[in-house]
Amino acid sequence: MAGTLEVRDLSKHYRRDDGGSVHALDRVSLSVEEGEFVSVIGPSGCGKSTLFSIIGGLVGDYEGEVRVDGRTIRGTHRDIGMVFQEESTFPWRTTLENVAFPLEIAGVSRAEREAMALRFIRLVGLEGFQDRYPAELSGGMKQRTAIARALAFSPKIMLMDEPFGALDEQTRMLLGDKILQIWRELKQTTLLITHNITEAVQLSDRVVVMSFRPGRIKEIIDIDLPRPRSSESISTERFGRYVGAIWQLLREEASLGMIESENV
Amino acid sequence: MMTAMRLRSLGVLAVGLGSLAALAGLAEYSVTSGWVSKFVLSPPSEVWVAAVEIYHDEKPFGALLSTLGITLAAIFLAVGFGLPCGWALWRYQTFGRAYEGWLGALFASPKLLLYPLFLVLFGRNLGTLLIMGWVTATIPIMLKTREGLMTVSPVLLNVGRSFNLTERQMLWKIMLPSAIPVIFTGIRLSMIYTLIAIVALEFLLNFGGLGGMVGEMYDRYNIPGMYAAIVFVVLLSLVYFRIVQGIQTWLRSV
Repeated sequence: MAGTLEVRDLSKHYRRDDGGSVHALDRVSLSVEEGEFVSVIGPSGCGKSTLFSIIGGLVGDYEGEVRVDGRTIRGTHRDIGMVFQEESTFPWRTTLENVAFPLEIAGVSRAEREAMALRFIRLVGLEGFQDRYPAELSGGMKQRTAIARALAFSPKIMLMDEPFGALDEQTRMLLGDKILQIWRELKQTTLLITHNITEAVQLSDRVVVMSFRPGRIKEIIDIDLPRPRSSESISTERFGRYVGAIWQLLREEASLGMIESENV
Repeated sequence: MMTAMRLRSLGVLAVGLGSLAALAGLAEYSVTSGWVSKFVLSPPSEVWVAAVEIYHDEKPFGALLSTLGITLAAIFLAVGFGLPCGWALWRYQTFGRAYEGWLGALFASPKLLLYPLFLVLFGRNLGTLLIMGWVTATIPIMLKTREGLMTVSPVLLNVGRSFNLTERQMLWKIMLPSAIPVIFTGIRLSMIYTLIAIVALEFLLNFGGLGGMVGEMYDRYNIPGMYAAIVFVVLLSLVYFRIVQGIQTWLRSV
């Protein structure tokens, strides 16, 4: 089950404690087609996470529109599943209970929800760990649990905010392979927020490059690399050219972000 | 792996019991060698004999059950009152901020000094003990419930929102389970202070229970018996902690 996501002229101002305001996003428009994998990349402070929160319905008071399958949505929505950057599994629930959580909320019977949850646990490669608590899992396993839990909600669109941001580079690449495998199987429309260029190129059909604050779309790059892909693709020349091109676009923006953070 | 864990916990138990035995040995030697007067400290061997005598003559389990029953009743009442109040202090933040300092100050104050007032209001009966225990137990539960709810990770709340949870589901499915360790810290604190308050009141009012037994032994100049009665109080607090640990584990699993 997949859907289309459309964002139109999204702008967002935050009020600061000193009475001033921060212009986080400026007329951002993008669309993600059914079954497409799109990444949004930008320097720190470009409003990536604000974009994630607005699309996911966690932040209100913005200008513009978010549409799913052509219908405008406000607030959290049944069709959008979210995976967060921070550790978000429930520490008092086992892997199975974590993944079954949205089904429990939906009133699915215990036997049925456990069978469904096991299917998603297998899909993310955590079979054998269903009875473990998050404290007994590695960082990558916890994030896979969070992904399985979001998938169990059967959303049309998966929204992920740097889900592997806290992991080391090698684990991140291997989990990228896992994401690609899941995406191939489910053909889920996916929007990934990331600051990692390699990850964006490895996974995406298109990469949306954002400018430093206020966040605007600087360029959208089509990644014309053959699928199925894996972490092995990163050694190819074409892959390197995409990474280089995106870095050229990001370099100036990242410098602006660094100057601002050093002046604070 | 399980064997290693079991061995480790057996090791911890052995270290604990060994330290206790060493301390008892030191106390025994201190008194028998004349370093410490028998009127200050009783040798553990005499405390043991006195404990056996109390067991046969004084029916200590009646006293133990009386103190346990009043303390548990006070704590149950405090949980029933303190949890919703703590939730309200979290939900209505202005009230929470306004009352936090006052409640903190009240928690730190020696509430035992209120007992003459309760004696006047309720008389020398169970009511005074129960109210005294309830007043002592409620405040830490209120404060820790508010603190526990305030410290729920924002990302867990966002997970709940992403699954369109209602406010009630958010409270029962995410906030309370997440806050349970902090709330139980409050319950443990309330148990400690309530047990102290109730045993002290039983002692002061000579109102039975373990406090009354300690007082009675003291009045009879039965120092080993007094220490033995104190050991029963310590055993009671051990039973408490086991009960609370069990409830906490059970609550997190449901």
